Amino acid sequence: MTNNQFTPKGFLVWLICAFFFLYEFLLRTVVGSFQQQIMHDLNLSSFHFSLISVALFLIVYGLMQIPAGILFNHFGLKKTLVVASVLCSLSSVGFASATHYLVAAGCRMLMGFGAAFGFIGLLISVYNWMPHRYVAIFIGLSQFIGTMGPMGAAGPLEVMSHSAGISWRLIFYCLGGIGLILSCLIMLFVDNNKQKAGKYIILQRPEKTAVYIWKLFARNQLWYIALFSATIYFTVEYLSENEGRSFLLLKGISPASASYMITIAWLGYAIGNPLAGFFSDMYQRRKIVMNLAASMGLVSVLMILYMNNETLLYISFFLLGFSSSGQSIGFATIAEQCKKPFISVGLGLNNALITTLAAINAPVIGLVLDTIKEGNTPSLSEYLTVFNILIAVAATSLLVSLFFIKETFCKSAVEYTYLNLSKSSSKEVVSS
Amino acid sequence: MKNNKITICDATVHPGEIANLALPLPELYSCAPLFMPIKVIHGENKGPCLVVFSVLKGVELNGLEIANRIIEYLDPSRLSGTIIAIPVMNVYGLTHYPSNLPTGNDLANCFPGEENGTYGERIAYLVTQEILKKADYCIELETGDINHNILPQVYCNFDNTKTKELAKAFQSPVVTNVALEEHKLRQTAEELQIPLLVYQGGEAMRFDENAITLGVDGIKNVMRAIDMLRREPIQEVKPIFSREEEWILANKGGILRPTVSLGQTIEEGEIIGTISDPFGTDETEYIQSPHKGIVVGVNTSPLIYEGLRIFKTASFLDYDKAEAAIEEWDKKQSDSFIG
Repeated sequence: MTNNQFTPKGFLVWLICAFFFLYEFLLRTVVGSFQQQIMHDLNLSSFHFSLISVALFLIVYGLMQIPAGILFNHFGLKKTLVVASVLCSLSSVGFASATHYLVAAGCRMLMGFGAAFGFIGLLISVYNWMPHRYVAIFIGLSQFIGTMGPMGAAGPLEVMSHSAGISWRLIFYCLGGIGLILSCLIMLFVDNNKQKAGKYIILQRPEKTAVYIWKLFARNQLWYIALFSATIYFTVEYLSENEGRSFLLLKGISPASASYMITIAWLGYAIGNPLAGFFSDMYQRRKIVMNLAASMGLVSVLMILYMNNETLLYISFFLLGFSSSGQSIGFATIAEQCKKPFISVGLGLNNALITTLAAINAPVIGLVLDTIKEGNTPSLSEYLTVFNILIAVAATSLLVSLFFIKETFCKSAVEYTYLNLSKSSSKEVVSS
Repeated sequence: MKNNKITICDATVHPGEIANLALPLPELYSCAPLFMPIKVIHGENKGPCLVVFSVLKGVELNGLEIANRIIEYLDPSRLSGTIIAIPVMNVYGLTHYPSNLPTGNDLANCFPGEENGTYGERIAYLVTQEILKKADYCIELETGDINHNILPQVYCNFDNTKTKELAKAFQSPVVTNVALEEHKLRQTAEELQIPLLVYQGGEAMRFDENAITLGVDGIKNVMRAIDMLRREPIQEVKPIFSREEEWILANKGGILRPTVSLGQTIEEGEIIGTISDPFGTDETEYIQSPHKGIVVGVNTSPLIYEGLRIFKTASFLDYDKAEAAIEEWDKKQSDSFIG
């Protein structure tokens, strides 16, 4: 009921949740580092490898976002995260021991199931424990950790895989062990921040969750914000995971520079997240940061598509990544449109739409590209034709932000803002 | 010109924002926290700060509804200045009816309040420091007491020309001089040099749609008059000014049967009702008006006891003009007030 204060316990909870997010992010991306070994050991084709490395994991991950929010709401942070962490740990060990494709695929799906709780859990820990006026900064920092962790870990793992000859199985056994240690830490330290009135803990009355969730999903603002988050984030992920490098090569950019540009985009994203959160919290505005991010996103997409100057392309990729950090403001804003017990569901919806748009739109763009190129290698002009979809997506985020999303002024739009009498404005006047 | 942000306690409200604030009230003996809900509609453009509050006694439901309808109506993008609306000032009174405050006194008489004073004085102190001191204008929304149906009217300090002009803008049929001496909240507003209007209409614990609509329209018109809303103020009603109001008390207990209605002029000595024995034994008493006046309040309870207020009358300089003005005003209302 009252605003949270910084506490060591709160910081510890957030830190453990952040480590779990980092851990699940690593599980998501680490398979790619051992592609050759895994394909050889499990006798997989490229198609089957792509299924266990990305597709199956992400399908379960995406589908579980809203249910994850509901489960957090029902069982609380500790129980849900412990189960998620144990599932990740067991599925890692299972994956490490797999000798058959189906077992590996099943373990990856289970891993996706457990991992689905990582980001939502981290955001809930922010809302539960961190002062409300710094929520966007902490969401940004959480995103930063999620991005930087795997980036930092990818290099050493590649080295282990190629030079030191360490088996992928050993890595996954280790990851299973880390998961168990995390489960213990979650069990020991992670907890919901109980709302208190004096020395009393305020209990939550059982609510008819289904009825409220139905009402929640009927709120237009939730969908606008989720659409904004999904559209602002889509392009950076699409270009880095799909056709970005091939497109840049056709523009005459060297393979090394093309890879750097993708890395620069993620660097922009990593820097942008805490920075956008900081400015949003400091000026107590959400919409203006979203508008700026969406405008920057549209301009950077246009520059990437139609500029050939290498320096400008570097800048454009940085700006594209930076603008994508607007999605962390989307998370902060969507939470302000939900009543406190259902913030987790709102956050789940936002993350689900982000994942779904990527899951649907990327193959759609691929399909259009396949149709246009008619079996040949796509030309630059064919890429440009198809990438009009990217312009449309970026323009959608700008339109939604400008005309549909309402400013929340960093306050809940559906609940009261409880005033703190110890920070009375009149007293401030007197003391100044 | 662009508005500046305002701060209430630790909450900053930005231009263009509608903020729902909850002010913590002094603690009770239970662990149930009590908050005073405050709605701030902070216009994008600069302008005056109007404080609208109601439910000082805990029973004035018409005022609560008026404040809520005003909140719903306003759009900060079209507002110059700020509305601070407190639909329920006395939350304890509203939730603990018929009790008013834990200490038994009136919240209105706890103003300007004391930081370490009684329960009511602590509330009053918070309101004075955090809200009233930010106000340029103030509107208090009242009703009659329980079973007292009051003809909609505005009270203001006749010595303050500005307040009198605002009272005219409210477009209620009657404007009466406000009684400051028994109401410390009104005195506090005077001391802070905040023009204060008191709108009274209908009876306590009842919704009166006519009185509510008149109150909502009146506030909108006042907002137009002080340039918070863009439209020109409507000037259809020429209110009549009354210097004095007085209650006629029952000299006998029994069943009250009024023979006059709201807005009616009564002469000195005129029979205005009867009080009869509920058990049919005692003689019926005819109530005579002790003075000339216009009926602006009626006790709607059929059962009354000796000494109870039964009719409220207002005195005017020109009764024909006053009665004609009230009748003309009543014809313009969707439902007749004066029956």
